[in-house]
Amino acid sequence: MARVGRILLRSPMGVIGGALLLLCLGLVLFGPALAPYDPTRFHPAERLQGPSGAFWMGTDQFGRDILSRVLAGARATILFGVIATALGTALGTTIGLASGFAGGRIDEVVMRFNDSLLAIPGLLKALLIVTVLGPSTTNAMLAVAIATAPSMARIARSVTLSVRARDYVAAAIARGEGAAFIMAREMLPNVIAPVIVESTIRVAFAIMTGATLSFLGMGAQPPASDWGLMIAEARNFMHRNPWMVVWPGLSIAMVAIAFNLFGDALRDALNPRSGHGR
Amino acid sequence: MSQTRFGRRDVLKGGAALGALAATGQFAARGAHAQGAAGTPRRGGTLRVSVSQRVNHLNPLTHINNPEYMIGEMMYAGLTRLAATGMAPEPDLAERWEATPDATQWTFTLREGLTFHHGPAVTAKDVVATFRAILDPATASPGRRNVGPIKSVTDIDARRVRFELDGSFADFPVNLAYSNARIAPAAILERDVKALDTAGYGAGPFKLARYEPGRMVRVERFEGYYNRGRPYLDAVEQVLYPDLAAETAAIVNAETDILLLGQPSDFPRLSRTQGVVAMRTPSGRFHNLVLRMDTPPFNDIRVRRALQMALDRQACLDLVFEGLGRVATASPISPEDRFHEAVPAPRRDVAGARRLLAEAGHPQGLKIALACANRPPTRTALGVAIKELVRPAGFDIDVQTIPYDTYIANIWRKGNFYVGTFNMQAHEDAMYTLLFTSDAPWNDAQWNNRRFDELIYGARRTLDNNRRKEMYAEAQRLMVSEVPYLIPFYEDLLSFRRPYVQGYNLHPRGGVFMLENVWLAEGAPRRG
Repeated sequence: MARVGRILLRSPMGVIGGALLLLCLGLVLFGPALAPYDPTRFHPAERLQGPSGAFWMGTDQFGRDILSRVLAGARATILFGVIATALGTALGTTIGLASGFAGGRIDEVVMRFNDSLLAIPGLLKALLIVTVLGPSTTNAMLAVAIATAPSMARIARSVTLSVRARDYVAAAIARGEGAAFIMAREMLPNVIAPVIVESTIRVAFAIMTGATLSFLGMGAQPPASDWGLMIAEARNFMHRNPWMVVWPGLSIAMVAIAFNLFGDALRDALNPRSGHGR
Repeated sequence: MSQTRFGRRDVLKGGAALGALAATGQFAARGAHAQGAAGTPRRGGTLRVSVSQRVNHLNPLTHINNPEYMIGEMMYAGLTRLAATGMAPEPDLAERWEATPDATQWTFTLREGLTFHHGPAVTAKDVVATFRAILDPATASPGRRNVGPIKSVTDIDARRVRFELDGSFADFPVNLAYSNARIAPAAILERDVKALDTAGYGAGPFKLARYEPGRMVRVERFEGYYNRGRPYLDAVEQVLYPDLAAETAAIVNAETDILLLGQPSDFPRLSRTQGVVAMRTPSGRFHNLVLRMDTPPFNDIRVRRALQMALDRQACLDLVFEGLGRVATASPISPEDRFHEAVPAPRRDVAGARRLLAEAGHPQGLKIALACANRPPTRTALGVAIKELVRPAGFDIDVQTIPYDTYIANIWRKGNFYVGTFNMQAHEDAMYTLLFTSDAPWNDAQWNNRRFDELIYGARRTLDNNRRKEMYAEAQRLMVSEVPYLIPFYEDLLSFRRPYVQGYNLHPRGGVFMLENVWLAEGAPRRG
């Protein structure tokens, strides 16, 4: 772990990504407390204004302070993406690893089923699931997690197939180790790198899918300051006060970049063949 | 039987005069020319109109929203229709009508030589079949009460139809102009009503050319239309833009010629946009909060009154509708209506509202979910605005946005607290019997007030205008004190057009578009 940390600190991408992630963490922990105004309070006389001394990021159609809303929405928005992706990744990796390790007919059946799920677009899948579960933020999170799982399973399984042919796996089997042990200790560390890279990209996707679900009334509900919902609401006022879209948009972009940079750096650090730190 | 022209009422005089004109063949020449049209109307061209709500089917008897009304109006004709600028009835398929002096029996005479788009002649039998279908509860037509107190409808001969009413009713020809009262062929209605959903069998100015559900409807000029010389356009395409930003972009880029139902958020910007003409007209159209009275918590009048007292109407109008309208009371009858009574809205009193809510058994406040369809987006905006404005009084409103289609299927007329939106109606009776009397087809607040029903049905049967005004005034006061709906403001109708679109007017009624009068001047793009 210390080795991975050292490698990360040596790569500029890792440093920037890590710093941005720390910022995200700060937002998750302290964002709502830092808001200068109540995020749902109206200032009717100051609707749709650009940034000013009183409202650093401007105001929206109800005269609500955009900065306060962005800060207040950080926790819900970031945690939504992280938790949904983590759940989806755990589920997908387990399925992919087990299926790839088992091989043969089981692998065939599981993967064909998985492929059929992959054929349905992610958003549609999430919509279907949340329609069955009923609209709420928690259910939207579960829906995004389940929608993420099939592609993670695909990636985990493809790596598993190449790893499974390795000598150390054959050796572990020859030693008579149990399947669970082999998967968890011998194979998972070698499977995890591409899975992590993919999941970091997926965090941004999860936030956007969550936002889309909110937009369709299947996730966060107004007047929540969920970033995606803020963008959805701002669209009708985009031409009159572009800042309404810019700030939550930049915030989502920041989170996405943070996870991508950090994920890339992490992949390099975790990859035994990347030549670092030996 | 002695039949005299019924001339006691202004509205009828108008209708009768127009009827006489039409009978002598002058009506078509006079035509209801659109105001502000520059130059001589030109024939030809394809008009593309954008809408943001879906047309669910083509059967005019059961249409419920404005994009559907627009299609129904183009493909079908009624016995009467509203004049191009007001609520007076004018002849449509019927060239004239007479009533007995007590206005209980009405005879409508069809024009000569009318035909449906698919060939057969329009006869009195078709009229009878249409109204029987509308009155049949199985059809579930929203116009069932709105077409008037019809007891029976019979054909006298091929061109004459007699309506027997359940009591006097002087405004009957206005009711017959209702959006659902469009004449369809008896043969289709009696054999295969479902056919009306996807095909066109009307006698209106345009005939169906293409229907792609969820995408577009294209209609083309019907050469056999009774009003010779109309329509001016070769074709009209109604295109659905589920995304409002895309719909606005389309009119700015001249991909479309008319944006049918404009949003207030776009109005200030598009008013200043080159190549777009922003249109605005005062109307009695409104957004409302339905407070369903047969279930808690709104079965308690104190809760309804508390909510009404907590509301800041001017703030709602400014925040949600950019101030493009006028504040309202709980009454759906706007200053545009004939018998409008200026019932003062209760003054905002947050402390009083809080007290009243506590008296009603909610000293800790009341938590309740408010359903808002996502189209038009002003529904959710109103929900959010009201949530914040009534919070100090102890209401904790949980705003829930849902897709429009889901709203229509699951919430409307079923939920106990949601945001509705309704067009202005042609007169008081039409509004009340559509939404508020106990037997109204869209009685979504389930008010069921006996005194109110008596007033409405009494006023309907009263020929004396002063007496009628009193009765409607009492009905309006009753609504403000009983609060079956909260109506924060009456909206101005908004629409956008390209400068070359001529003859297009905003009718305060809301669901009336009269596209047969529209023509394309110099500068219109050529479309297929």
